[in-house]
Amino acid sequence: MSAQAHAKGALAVQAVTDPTSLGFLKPPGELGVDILAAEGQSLGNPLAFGGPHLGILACRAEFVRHMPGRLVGLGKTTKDARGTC
Amino acid sequence: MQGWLQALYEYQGMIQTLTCIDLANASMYDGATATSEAVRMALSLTGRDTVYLSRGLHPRYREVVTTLLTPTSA
Repeated sequence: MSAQAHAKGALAVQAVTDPTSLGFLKPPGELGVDILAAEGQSLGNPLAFGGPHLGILACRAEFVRHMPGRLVGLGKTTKDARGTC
Repeated sequence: MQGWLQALYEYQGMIQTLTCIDLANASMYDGATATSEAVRMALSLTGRDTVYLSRGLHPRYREVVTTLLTPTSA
C-alpha cells in the first residue's frame, strides 16, 4: 500500500492500536511507512478508566522539523560528559 | 532531570528499534490524536488536501482524525 502511495507522490501513514503486535508482524519501516502513530498502552501501562495513555509518533529522519512534540537528544557537555536534553 | 530525559531518550530509541523507523518523539497524548497528528504532518509535507483513510482504521481513530482535521468556521 505504501508503494501505491509513493507512486502517486503521497505519504504512507500507519496507525497501530496494539504495538505488541509488532513483535511478530513485519516492522513498519520495512513496509515503507513514512509516519507511524501507535497507542502505547499495551506496552505495559495501566488502563486508567479509558484515559489517555501513551501516543507513539515516529517518522523518517527527513521529516524531523515537521514533527510535533518533544524530541530528546544526546549531546556532550563542556566537560565532555554525556548529557541528554 | 537527566535521569528522566535519559529515560525518554531510551524510550525513543526502543520505539525506533521496534518499528524500524528513523525517528520517534517523546510521545503524544494517545494513539488516536497521534494518528491525527501524523495525518496533519503528511498533509503539511505534501501540500495536498486529500487523505485516504483505510477501512481497516479503527472507527474511533477515524472519528478523532475527522474531528481534529475538519476546519471550524472562521
